[in-house]
Amino acid sequence: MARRALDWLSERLNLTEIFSLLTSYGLFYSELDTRKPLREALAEAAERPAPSYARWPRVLGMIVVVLIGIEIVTGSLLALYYLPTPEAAHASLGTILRDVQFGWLVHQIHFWGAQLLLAVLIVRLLRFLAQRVYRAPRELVWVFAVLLLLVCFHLDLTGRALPMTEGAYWTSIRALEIVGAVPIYGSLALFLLGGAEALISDLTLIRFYTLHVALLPILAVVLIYLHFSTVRRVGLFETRDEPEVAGRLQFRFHVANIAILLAFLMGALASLAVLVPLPFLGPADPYATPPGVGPPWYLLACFGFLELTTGMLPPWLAGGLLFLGFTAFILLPFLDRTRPGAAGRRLMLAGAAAALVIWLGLTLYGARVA
Amino acid sequence: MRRAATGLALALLAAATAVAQGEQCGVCHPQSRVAFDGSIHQGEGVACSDCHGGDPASRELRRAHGGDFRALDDRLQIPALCAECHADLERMRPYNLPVDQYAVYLTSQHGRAIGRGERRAAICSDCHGAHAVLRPSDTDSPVHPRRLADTCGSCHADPELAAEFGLDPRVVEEYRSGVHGQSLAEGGTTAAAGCTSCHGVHGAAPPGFGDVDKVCGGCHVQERRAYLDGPHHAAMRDAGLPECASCHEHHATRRLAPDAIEAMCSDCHGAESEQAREGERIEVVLRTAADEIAAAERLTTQAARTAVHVEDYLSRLEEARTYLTEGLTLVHTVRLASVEEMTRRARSIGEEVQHEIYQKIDRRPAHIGLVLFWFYLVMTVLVITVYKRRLRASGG
Amino acid sequence: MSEAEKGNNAAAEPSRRRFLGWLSRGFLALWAVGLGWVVAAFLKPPRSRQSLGERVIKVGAESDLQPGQALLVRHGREPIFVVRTAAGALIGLSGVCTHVHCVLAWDRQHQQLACPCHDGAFDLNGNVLRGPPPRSLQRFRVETRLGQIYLHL
Repeated sequence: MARRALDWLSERLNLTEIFSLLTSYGLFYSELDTRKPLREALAEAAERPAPSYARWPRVLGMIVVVLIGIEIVTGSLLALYYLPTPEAAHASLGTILRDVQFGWLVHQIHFWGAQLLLAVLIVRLLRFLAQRVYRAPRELVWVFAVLLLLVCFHLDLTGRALPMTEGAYWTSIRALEIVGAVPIYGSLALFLLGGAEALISDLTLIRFYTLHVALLPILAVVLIYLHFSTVRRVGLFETRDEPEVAGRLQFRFHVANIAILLAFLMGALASLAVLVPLPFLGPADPYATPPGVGPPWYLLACFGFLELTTGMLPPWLAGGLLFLGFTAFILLPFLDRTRPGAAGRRLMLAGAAAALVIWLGLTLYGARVA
Repeated sequence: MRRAATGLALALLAAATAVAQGEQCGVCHPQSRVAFDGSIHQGEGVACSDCHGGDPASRELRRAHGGDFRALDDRLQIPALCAECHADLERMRPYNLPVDQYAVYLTSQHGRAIGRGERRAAICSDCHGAHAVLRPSDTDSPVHPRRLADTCGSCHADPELAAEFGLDPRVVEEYRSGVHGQSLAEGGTTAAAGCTSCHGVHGAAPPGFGDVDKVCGGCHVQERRAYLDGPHHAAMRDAGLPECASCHEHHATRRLAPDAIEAMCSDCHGAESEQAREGERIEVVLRTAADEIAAAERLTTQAARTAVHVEDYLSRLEEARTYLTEGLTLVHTVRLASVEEMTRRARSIGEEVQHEIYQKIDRRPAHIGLVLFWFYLVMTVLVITVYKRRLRASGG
Repeated sequence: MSEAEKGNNAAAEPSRRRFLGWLSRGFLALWAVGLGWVVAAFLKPPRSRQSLGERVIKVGAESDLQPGQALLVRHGREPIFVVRTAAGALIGLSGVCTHVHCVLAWDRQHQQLACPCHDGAFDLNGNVLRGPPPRSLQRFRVETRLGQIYLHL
């Protein structure tokens, strides 16, 4: 029955081409003959051994895609009740959390999914760094991955402001301070957000909202598409010591692995949502700063750096250094002059480890100051 | 320095205007002139010569201080002098001021002492100022509620004067340490009782025995009603014991926490007496109600963070607090039954609120759901693993 | 997996295999059911939760409503009639016909709520007297305090 329906559709619709879109988002990596009907093309792909994304270390890319999918679904659900005005925002979140069935669950999963997404993106970049995945011809893989991380930072940042709870409001203010400290980008971002004084007005909120639900998600999806397009172009990165065969799997195994991954991801998110719920704070009061509000965790390093250098460096220089640092990070593939081979890899590994230690140190310092 | 300069400038200005009006006193008495110009008498048609006599138009000493001139250096004259206007109904009518205050003053301890020829007793200018008389509501006025204790204390806290007149000089300090004095000092309402609230204003005299409950009850209406309702009123009056002050003190008035009740009862009735035990029971019901409300408040704050509608609970707790306050008021009846009726209501609201919130913030259903979810998840993974194994076994 | 092997396995334990296959498929399908249920529950609009102050509204003074008169309360989306019966009792009744949601009118002469759309009518207990309405009207609690009429939503 299902088979006949599929055949009927395949005769009228190029299902194979539609399915091949999935490969553009890193869910599946195999050549598909888009001229053939779907069942035939899949059977062919199934017979061909293919590398599995759902295995370490490529599972990270897979988790990113799955998490973004979860964020889009839960985000769309939340948008059905959320009202993006300063007066109504907090109350509408209250409605979601208190009155809508499973509203708290959807909200918590949306929040924790975002935190997990950022963490996975960071770990993934560290892996790229340690294994020097960014070397030619994979420079763009790196560039798109870093840009994706930056877009996700912005997604989280804009999302945090939306509930207009006192925590959300002041966290956003602190984050905007840091954004504003970065010279060119900061003033541009603040101008675009409509709040040059880094204050959250009704104008700013609706801009945050538009960025969060439309522009940035589209940008993220485009970047993922570009990212995996380069992968399809230049092929998967395989270290020399990785056995060729062990990484290659039949298509069905791959689907089963994805299912298992998805199940555990859901389990992790549900556990975080139930056991470590984000508290629902009172509405934001622009006239009272609650104590102990710092920027979001991923900005703590920048915050720590700015705090550390106040007094030592003029603000424009500190912000400029941050800006240079980010630019250098994005353009790393073009700046890396280490030689290929074990010696170069060790050098880069040491550099990455040092960068990680500095980042963690600044994060801890920032957390202590905040 | 600067003040002096400003004062001088003002004096010159005043002198200039006075010249225009034909009043020349300020030329020689600039300070008095400045003080007078800031007072409420300025602009009301009161001139220097109305009190001091003489010829105000002259700058020549002999003429200016001639005729009916009065230096007013005898304190005994002053009250009668003020009364010339302030006891005159015709003059005071437009200002809606009472004209009986001089008569009242003459009945006061101060007025009677003046009558006896005692020059150190308080006269009008001691409290209101001589030239610079201000409205009592003016914060610079010595009789403004926040400055009143200082003004009375300038005589009544003086140990020598007090010793001579057989008064207690500690009362002012005691008053300041009491709830009324503290409240005024901390910027609280100016309606808090000051010296004159109990002792009378111009008719200042200590309230007599048996009048204390009336004096306090002027503000503490409910407490007095409860007190009159209870057995203490008649018993203490008959025994000649101070009423409110027995527990709350005279000047160092204190607020008594519920946990001080039993100690209060034991003070008079003895530690093992039936009354002390009754006091302990009252104390217990009040404390349990207060604890219950406090626990419900903590729970409400906690619930507000976990997405529960707490508005209804907040208003119910407000009601409970009102019952508790009423219960505290009814302690003055010293009857357990009266207090308990209120505390029972307060307590039951507190308990209800706690019960309802506990039901709402209970995380157990979510935790059970999570465990079931994981169970189902592990089962799913097992099914998929079995599927994978079968694929592999069949030569995938 | 070759077709021959598959056939052999199926022949060996055909019914058990197939049963287990369907069982696991059904088990996995429960995920979709559960997910669909959560999403559907989420999509169901919540009952509006109002605070005590919003649930009780002051309608007007008791003296303004004479026996036999009715008052249409305009509050929120749903109009509500407060009727004082000839005996003096106060009754709160939904003002919306249960048929096609027309707003009812108070017929003082017959002491009933009449529907202008299809000539339905309800008595003071909310029961259908005539016409097409399928259900009786929802009743609301009315009380008087200090001469004021309060309606409990």
